[in-house]
Amino acid sequence: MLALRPAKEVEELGLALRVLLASPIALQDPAGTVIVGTPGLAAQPRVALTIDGQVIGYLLAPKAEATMCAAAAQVIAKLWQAQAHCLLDAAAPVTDEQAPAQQETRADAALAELTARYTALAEEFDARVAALVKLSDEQQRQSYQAERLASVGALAAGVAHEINNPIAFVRSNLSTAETYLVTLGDLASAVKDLPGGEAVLASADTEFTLEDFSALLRDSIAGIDRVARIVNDLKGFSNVDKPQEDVVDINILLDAACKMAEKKLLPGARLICELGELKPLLCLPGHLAQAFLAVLSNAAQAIDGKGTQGELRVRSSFDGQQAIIEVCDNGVGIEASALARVFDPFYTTRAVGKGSGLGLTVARDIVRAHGGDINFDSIPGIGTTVTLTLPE
Amino acid sequence: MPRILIVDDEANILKSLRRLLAMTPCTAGGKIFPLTVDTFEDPAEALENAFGTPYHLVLSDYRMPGMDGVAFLKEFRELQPNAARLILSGYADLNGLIAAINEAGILRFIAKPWNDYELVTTIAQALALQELQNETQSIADEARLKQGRLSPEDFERQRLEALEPGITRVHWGPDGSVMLDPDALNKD
Repeated sequence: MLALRPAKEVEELGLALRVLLASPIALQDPAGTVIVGTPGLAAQPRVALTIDGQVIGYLLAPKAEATMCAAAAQVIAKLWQAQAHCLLDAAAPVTDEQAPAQQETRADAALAELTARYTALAEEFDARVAALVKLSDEQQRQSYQAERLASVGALAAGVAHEINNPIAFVRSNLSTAETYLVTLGDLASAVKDLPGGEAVLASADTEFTLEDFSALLRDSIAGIDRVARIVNDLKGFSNVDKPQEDVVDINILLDAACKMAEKKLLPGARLICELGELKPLLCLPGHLAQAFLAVLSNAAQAIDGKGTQGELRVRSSFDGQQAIIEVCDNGVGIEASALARVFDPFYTTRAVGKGSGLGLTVARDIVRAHGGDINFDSIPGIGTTVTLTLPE
Repeated sequence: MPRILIVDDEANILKSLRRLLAMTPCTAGGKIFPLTVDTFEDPAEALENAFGTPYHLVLSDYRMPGMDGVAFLKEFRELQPNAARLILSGYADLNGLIAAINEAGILRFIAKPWNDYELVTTIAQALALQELQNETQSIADEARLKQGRLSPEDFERQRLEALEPGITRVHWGPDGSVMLDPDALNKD
């Protein structure tokens, strides 16, 4: 710290000042101790000696004019400042030989520190930007899927209504026809009892006709019931007017997804459901159903080449903390290089127009949105196991 | 004989329902309801017909061009509040269902495609319930008449209205004349 200190120069300065100001003078250090000059002068008025706003001491000259005093104080301060610079410049090389090198090292260290700080900042900034981009990507993908789902839902609703009408009257009419057939059968047996009736019936092959008619109606009813079931599943599955959270049994969603996936299987391929008891989960049921279906239809396509050997196994269990859902197939499997990319948006191994490459991406987004995770294990040629976890 | 009204914009549905109801006995609680069935493809026509023909039950589709099932049943309810109201539909969103229950006061919502047995049973049960309610109502009215809480005029008005829906809705002119419905005049 810069301050007036007793020295030979100060002594001489005091003498000169006394002559110049024509007054007894005293110089004090910042603490107020007299360094040079007449001791015992009145402590006030005094003029502060400042360098860059820092008080280095005080000048007391009771008999001098205030302006002269102020000017003198300025001169002393400037002198002192100049001397301090000289001292600093002169002292540095003399006192320490290695100073320049050390100073350089210090500067280097400071620079390095700064660089590190800026690098860290830049990295943090990059990470934040990347996170935001990822978030908006995910949102975009989800909204793309949501929109697609909504339009599928609207379509399903329209189809359900349009198809249910014809299904309804065809189904009802077939039942009525069955009753009519019973009446006809009664009529035939009545005719049979009439004289010559048997011959008439035989000529028209009535027995076979009535029998086959009944079988035909049964088959038709079974067929129309199947159509009705498909429409009903479609309606239930695309239940997009319920995007809100709900407490549901995951097994119900899995079962619905399995029924949908079953329709994509080639004849002969099997789908085995082993659903264990699960706790009801607060979730977005529509979204989870979509995720399950994406995984299941992927598995269903994987076993397409296996024909009747194809097998799909869906298991669910609860390990005390989370629901674990496993989907195993004995299909073609996934090459290691492709395994790393299964979740990449728009990555698909299917022919153009067959797959959007978004199914698993969105499935992972949805599962992660529920705080869970999804993992693929695959051995090419042997099969794939997809494990989904959903925390309670 | 209970008379029921069925409204659906699809003629094939009406035909198959006719067949079904003609063939299957409509029974509830050991009682058989032999039905008279009227069918309409256009809800507006059905409403016009309901002006004058009393029904015990009305079964309507939900999605119809021009007037949906809820609007139709609401108007029908104005005319014949005692008839049981049912909806038979292939699809309805949640809002449609809420409106059907809260506004049209339906007794049941039956999904298309229906199960024949379920449909007939539902109709029979609705008729039994409606019959019971009407009986209770008329006994209560007679009691009120005896107690003097219901004027003989009101009692007669209710009886007539049950026989001929809309008959007591007379538009009186300022000079005491009876105003005929101008729409009804134009139609002839």
